[in-house]
Amino acid sequence: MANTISNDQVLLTIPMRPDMELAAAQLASVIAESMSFSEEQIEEIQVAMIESCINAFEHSQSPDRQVIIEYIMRTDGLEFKISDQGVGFSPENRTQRRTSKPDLYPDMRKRGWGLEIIHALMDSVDIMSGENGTTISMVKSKTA
Amino acid sequence: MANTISNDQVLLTIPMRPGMELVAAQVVSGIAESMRFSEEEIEEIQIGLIESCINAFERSQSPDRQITILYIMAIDGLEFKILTKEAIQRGKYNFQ
Repeated sequence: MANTISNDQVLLTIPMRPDMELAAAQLASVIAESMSFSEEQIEEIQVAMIESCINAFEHSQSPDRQVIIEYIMRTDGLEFKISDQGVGFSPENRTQRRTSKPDLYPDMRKRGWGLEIIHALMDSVDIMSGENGTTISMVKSKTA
Repeated sequence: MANTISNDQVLLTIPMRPGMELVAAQVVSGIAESMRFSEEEIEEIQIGLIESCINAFERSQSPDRQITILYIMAIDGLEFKILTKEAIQRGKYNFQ
């Protein structure tokens, strides 16, 4: 059976390959524009979307190598749910690690600040992660 | 929401409502850019997709009022298929 979406929802499935995060960000941009978000807010949304996708690409170890993104146009804002079917992680442990000594993790190289950036740019961020994958839900409010 | 796509495919599902054809066109623009199409070609692709979406919106009479667009990044070009839910159910697609 085909996916069913509501009238205020858009669903995008992208493969984990270079530049696909830009397609997801461009989609977020045009939806945000249609909802009359400011240029600055749209830029913040795009950066958060790119970071979320790259996080999934680089860290999820998802066997199907794809990311599913839901764009939900709410009356009070725009919500995104970025999901992968990877190995998951513990957001709490990660926060602890990042606030202690980020330089001690050379595997992060110059990247690795994705979640911090997302938290800073969006009005609400919720992460659900387990052995069946990760979903990052983030909201940009219209009034913020 | 268990879609299965291959590494050269992108799948977009949009409601049939005004402005959503532009959303589909924006996605195709991003994909075409990543495939190094020229600006002129991207514009032509966008117009082709917008017209296809509007056709589906206006004429498909699909009861669930949504369409799914499958973008296929081939070595020799970019292909897209505009599908109603009924067409997906009838067809032999890997995604659900």
